[in-house]
Amino acid sequence: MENSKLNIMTISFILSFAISSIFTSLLVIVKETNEGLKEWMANLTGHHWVTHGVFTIILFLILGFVFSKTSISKKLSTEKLTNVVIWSTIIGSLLISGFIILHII
Amino acid sequence: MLENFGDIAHVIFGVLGILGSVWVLVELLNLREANLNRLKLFSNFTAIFIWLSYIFGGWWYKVYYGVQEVGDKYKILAGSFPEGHTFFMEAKEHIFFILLLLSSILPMIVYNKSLVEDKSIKKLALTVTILILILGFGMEGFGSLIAKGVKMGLLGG
Repeated sequence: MENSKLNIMTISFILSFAISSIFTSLLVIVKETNEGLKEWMANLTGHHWVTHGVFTIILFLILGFVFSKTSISKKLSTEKLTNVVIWSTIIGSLLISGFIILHII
Repeated sequence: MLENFGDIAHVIFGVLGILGSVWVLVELLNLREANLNRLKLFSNFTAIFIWLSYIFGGWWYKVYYGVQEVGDKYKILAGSFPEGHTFFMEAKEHIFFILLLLSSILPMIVYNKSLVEDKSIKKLALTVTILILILGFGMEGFGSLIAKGVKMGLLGG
């Protein structure tokens, strides 16, 4: 079903939001289980969390603009995008809190 | 007073971001052409305040909270409620990225021309706003538990 009501930039950045949210959650798991990566990230900006944020924001911006140049975004209905937003938020938040409960405490 | 503002700037901007999203929610529930400009304005305020909360929170985290041995982090870890850092701060600082991106897509959705007549776009905007509210209140709640951890550390257990 083609989405003609939402503009292409909005669709692209919603898709980018979903991927970036999952990326940022997985990066928590990867960096906390890999001291070398965490140290490398810390050395880049002075703190691993700052680098984490920079990576997430850059990915969000790049993917948003890349998707806007493709036709993939047009194929998603607004209803599907709403579900994508809900599930990426839930999965991202659960991945982060679940990992911390299981591996840090 | 300005010195103290640095400590709580991220909290103040976070609360303003939440208030902005409450305003957006109300405007969306009463959506019509007449309140569209106000809706756009407050969706921008929400995004700007959440971004300011991120910037000031990041600065405070790096300059004060995590300073070796003397930062709040070490006071929490030395106290009887170390989870204030090991769970609540660790979860908060990372889940905040999701909130930051959510607040960034809110104005993009609200600025769509078909918002008023298309119910599915309105539903999408409502969904994003409610998620911002849930995560925003979650951040505030986690923040209060982190502060509790500092208190427990300062009290010596």
